[in-house]
Amino acid sequence: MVRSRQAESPAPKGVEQRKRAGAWLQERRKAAGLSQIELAQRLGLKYYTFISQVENGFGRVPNDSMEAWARALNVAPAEFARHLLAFYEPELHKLLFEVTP
Amino acid sequence: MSIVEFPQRSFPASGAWSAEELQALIALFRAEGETSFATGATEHGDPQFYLLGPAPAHDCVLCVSRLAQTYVLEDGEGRLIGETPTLDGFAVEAARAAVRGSRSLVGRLALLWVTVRLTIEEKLEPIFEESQELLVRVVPQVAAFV
Repeated sequence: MVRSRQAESPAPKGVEQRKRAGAWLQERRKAAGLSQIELAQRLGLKYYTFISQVENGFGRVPNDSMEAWARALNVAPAEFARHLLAFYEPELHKLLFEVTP
Repeated sequence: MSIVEFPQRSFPASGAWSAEELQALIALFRAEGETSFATGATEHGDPQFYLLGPAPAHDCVLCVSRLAQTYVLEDGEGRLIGETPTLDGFAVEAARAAVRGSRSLVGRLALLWVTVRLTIEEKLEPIFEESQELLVRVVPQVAAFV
């Protein structure tokens, strides 16, 4: 459950995309049969709270730990990064992977 | 030799933030400018408080979570800033983090703001209170003398 001071105003597109990314990550984690605590352990985090922060759509998977996340979730790192880029930087993703020369 | 038994601190059971905790967090990270906050929970029901950066991104700048008997403070990239049994303990943690520096400018500014505000409240307010007490005692005597 998420409560926000700005709940009355519609969420900006970037926020919505981050929430979609969080939902996708949660789906991948569950598919890998991991709890938030187990994923945090695999990533070498002391607490599992950052996993929740990301899955709730408030944080992003940092670039420098994207490969570790991908491997922990049994997803090919390149595919994982490309998928998250579509949520986090849709314009860049479009330029890199969708626009034909 | 007698042993003094200190009372156990009572922590709220895992679940949503209590009104007192929420009030303390809002006061601690009193939103400046365009910052705002949101609350959520982990899959185990541990409450989280997100301090959000300016629009339109509203990225998470700081996240406070309550796990059993510990409050955990992290930045928006998952770096552990501090852990403390009381919310007041974040004054020290925030000061340390501000000195150490964070890659996020908004996060650094937020931490710096918290540190400065807490320092003012902790150090200067007692001085002002002391001055006021002194005035209350001295002014009637001066008035009587005049």
